[in-house]
Amino acid sequence: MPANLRLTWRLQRFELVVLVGVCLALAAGCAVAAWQLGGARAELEACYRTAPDSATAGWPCRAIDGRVNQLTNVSVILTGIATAAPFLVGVFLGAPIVAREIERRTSSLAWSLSPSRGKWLAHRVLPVVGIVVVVLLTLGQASEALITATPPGEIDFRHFAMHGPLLAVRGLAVLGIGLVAGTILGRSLPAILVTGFVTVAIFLGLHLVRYELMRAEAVWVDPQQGGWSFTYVHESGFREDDTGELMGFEEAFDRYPEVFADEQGDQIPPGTTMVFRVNPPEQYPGFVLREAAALAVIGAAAGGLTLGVVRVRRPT
Amino acid sequence: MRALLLAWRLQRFELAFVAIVCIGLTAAAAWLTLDMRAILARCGTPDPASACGSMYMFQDTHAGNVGLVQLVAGLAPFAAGLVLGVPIVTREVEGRTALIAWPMARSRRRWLVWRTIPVALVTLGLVAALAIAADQMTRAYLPGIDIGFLEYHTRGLPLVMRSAVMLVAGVAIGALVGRLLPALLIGIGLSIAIWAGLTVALPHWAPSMELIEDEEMFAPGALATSVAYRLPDGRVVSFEEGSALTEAIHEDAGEGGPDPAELPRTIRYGIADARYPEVLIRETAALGAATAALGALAALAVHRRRPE
Repeated sequence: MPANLRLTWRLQRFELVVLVGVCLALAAGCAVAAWQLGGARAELEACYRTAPDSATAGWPCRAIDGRVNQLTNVSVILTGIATAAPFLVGVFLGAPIVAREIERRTSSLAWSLSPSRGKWLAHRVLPVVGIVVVVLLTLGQASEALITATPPGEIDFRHFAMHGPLLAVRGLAVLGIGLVAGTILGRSLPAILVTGFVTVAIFLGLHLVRYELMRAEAVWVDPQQGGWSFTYVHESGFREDDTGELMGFEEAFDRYPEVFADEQGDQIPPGTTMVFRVNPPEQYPGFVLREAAALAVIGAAAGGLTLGVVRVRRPT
Repeated sequence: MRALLLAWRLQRFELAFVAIVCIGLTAAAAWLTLDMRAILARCGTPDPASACGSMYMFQDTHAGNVGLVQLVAGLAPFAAGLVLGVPIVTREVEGRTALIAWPMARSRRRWLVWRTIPVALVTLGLVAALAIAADQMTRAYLPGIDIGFLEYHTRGLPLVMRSAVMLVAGVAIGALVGRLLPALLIGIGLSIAIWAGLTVALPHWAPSMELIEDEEMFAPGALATSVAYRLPDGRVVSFEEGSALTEAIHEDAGEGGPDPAELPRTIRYGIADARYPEVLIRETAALGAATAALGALAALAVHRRRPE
């Protein structure tokens, strides 16, 4: 394995230095921001206990409040970049692995010297896979720490694919797509372009499927009871307190015109509770697992296809 | 024509890819423009569209598609410039064909010009068509409004100038680095820096002035730069100071609320939409100069580097 790692380093030195370096620097940035934010929030809470919230210019907590806000903005930027990192890493490390060998005509020699093309492929791909997994897992954990340190401090559907092991799974899936594209096309730049295009199409499709599943699995809740994430409010309406029957806004307008005509009132028909159709937070891990499973299938299929193509294609 | 044919033979895939993306985007923008104008034409007739009564009439129906085209159109000049610019020198160096091509050319600069100009013409042509279509789409999306600085980075001349800068920057990076993937990665970093730099620079191409109330409320095309507060005695204070003061006045006034005459008044600074052409000319001149400088750098790099 060290020999394979050394070879990978020699062949993809610049890409590894830049991409791994950027990801690790980003992870370090997330960790430092999380640490700073945790400290600033604790300081603010302590300040609130002695000086209640006030708008006056002399309010002693104003400077700490400003620092928490600044760090929250930094958190949004860092976690946003972390979301994009798996795509860049996957495309630029995956697409050239085979494409470069074919483009430079070194594949003829490499494939004939190796006991089998499959073994050659494994030796070339596994070190990169290992590096991608380690780097993106580190980034995912650092990003998760930052999200939990950022107010309100809870992870929900707003943070989908911004943290945790899903970053590594996404990176591996894109790497797989890049491998297939590079093996079929046999040229680095076209492979990168096609990988980017296919990746956008696949992830757009996954996003649409996820959204439809979220809609289908959403439940009606009373927002007054709290504890709900309102990232996606799919529908809203009123529930009859006695019967539990649901009523849409249009029906409520028709049945209780006087309630909605009173602009000073609460605009809620008597004997009903306003309810939202949302996804409860406990559904979140299930959606992450499903996406990870779908990406694992895509990655495995891409790996199998690459192996098949490498076995049968001409080395030039 | 021979240079164009050679460019096609050497960069067929990349040219086709960029052409498909740009033509696809241009077609999408043109289709959306025609669709919105057709709806607009029905307003005032016996069979008006339901959106005719509202101020932002296409917000519910077209916002998603228009936003998507604008997003990709804003990225396209950077991507097109890099994808077509970077390989011009790197491919020759990596493929070791520079060893033959450069000694055979009358001069390396001439070789670079002949290799770059056809690609530049194709890129600029494709991006110009996209820029016009995106501009028309934005105008159709906001009918009856002088769009001024709205969606500045996703339509019109700025798109063409960005693609020119990125193409020449791609050639220069490729000539300096000599390898495709490293040059592409550096190019992506540079694209982000140029994008951020131009976004930060935009409000500084013309002096920012206090926007009069009419401009602020009814001219969404003005480029807002900052907000401040004017105190009842005429003094101007910062946004933070003014908001803290406003909140404190509300706090002190209690339930009855403060006297409106005591409250600081919000004032906005920015560049009026009438100054859009002036800003456009200045930015275009700056980007033109940057393109020329990068071109000179590319020529120098090709002139001095080893062909392998």
